[in-house]
Amino acid sequence: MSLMESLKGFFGTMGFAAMTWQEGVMILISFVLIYLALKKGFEPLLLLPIAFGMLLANLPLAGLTAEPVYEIVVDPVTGEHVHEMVSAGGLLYWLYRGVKLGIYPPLIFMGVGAMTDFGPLIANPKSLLLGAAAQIGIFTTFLGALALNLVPGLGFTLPEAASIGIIGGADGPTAIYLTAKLAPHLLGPIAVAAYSYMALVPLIQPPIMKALTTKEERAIVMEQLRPVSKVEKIIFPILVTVVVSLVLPAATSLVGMLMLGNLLREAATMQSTLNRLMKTAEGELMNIVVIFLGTTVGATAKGEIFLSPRTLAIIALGLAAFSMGTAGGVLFGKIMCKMTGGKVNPLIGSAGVSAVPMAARVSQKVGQEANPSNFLLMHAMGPNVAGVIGSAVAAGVLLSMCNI
Amino acid sequence: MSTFSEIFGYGLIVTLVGVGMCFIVLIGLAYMLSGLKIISNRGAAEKKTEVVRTERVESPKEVATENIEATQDENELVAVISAALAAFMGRENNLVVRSIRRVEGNAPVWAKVGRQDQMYNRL
Repeated sequence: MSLMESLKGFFGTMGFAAMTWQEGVMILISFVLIYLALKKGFEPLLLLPIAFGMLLANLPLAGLTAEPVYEIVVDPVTGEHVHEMVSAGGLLYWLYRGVKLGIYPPLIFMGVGAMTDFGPLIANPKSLLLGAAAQIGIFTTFLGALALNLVPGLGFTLPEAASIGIIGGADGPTAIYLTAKLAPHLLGPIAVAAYSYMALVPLIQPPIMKALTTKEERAIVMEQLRPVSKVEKIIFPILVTVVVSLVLPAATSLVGMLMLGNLLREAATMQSTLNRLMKTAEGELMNIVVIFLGTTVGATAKGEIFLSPRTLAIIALGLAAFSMGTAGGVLFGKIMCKMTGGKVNPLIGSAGVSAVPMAARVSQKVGQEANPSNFLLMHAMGPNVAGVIGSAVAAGVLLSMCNI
Repeated sequence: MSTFSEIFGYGLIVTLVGVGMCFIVLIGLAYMLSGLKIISNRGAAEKKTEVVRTERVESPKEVATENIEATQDENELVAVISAALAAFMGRENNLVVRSIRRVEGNAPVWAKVGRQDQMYNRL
């Protein structure tokens, strides 16, 4: 073998030779996402692993997402047909099982529950309504995605449309959970759209909020929230779990784990030994799962699937979902403002799309622009955490009705 | 289910059920939470007295430790001790601190802990 031939042979094993144009474009997109995560601070906690997973999955010949290969052979001793593993499959393939089987998102929800104080919601149960109203964005987008079937070549099936709609829940784990079950092939674009728009909430929401409210409404000062007792805080997670799971069994894994995390948090104030569990749930366990989830979700964004007009449609529909959710929340906030005789500031409605706590901060900021001495943050936290429960309920409905 | 109108019609049903469920579940929860408020109001009243009590327990501890531990900033120390005493005795007492004497701090740690324990038990 001459030197030239062996060099040629070695070049054949390199990634450059096997790279398709789609993979090249995807690697460039992953660079852009890494830039956005690091330099612009777009949800860096998740966008960075997602972008890097995207990079890893699109490197040719690395085989990180390769499936394991089994061969059926005859066992020489027993003479039975048995499976024999020929190749073990790639690292990301196995880590992705946690997404595919719906394990990671509920674990993240447990951490979210351990970090969330539901006190503002317990103090003002009416804010649950705003959390429900903002879910309208999910369903209008779902219908919008179905309506795109009229455009030739851009159709979405029912499960796909449901997965796109859930972007409007503004809740990463819920979106990933539902999409992994209904339309796993769309996981990449949907996760990227959901997390990018969550990062863009401070830009998307204020114009809608201002357009739908008058300056007087924005300046409304709300009554201070009553203090919430420890007993209520302990009963709340148990009550929510029982009610939601009995009504919607499909939402149990999400809501149940969210409330388990929250119960750990509240119970830790009574039994200090529970502190350890709470710390793990909101700390290391969650961090580990976020790394696995982010990387593997990013790795589903393979070039040949991601680079299609459907991705652009998903990104456009995602924006519509966020906008409609915001509008739904604010409009319902206006109704509540009228009903209570001006005691509710409609701005807290927009926080009903989850995106905790970004959406609540946006309410606070827009409210303070209208009335510098107004503090809406804690009032907005009520609809905000209600939105998490609301989008989990919506996901449960979509899961049980669109899983065809 | 193949034609557009069929799919879209089913989509409308899903939407109605979905929005309806969101509202029903969350309205139900809201009512139950309002119910919770009534139960816990009794608890809240008990808790209030508890809070006051714990505050009172805290104050003598501060006095004791501040007396034992000598610090450089005497004025600040005097202010803290007076404030702690005032908080402990209640607002009605016209309290004037005339002198503060430093006690020799050679009691062993175990004795101090035991003394504090006894104080907590009495109060």
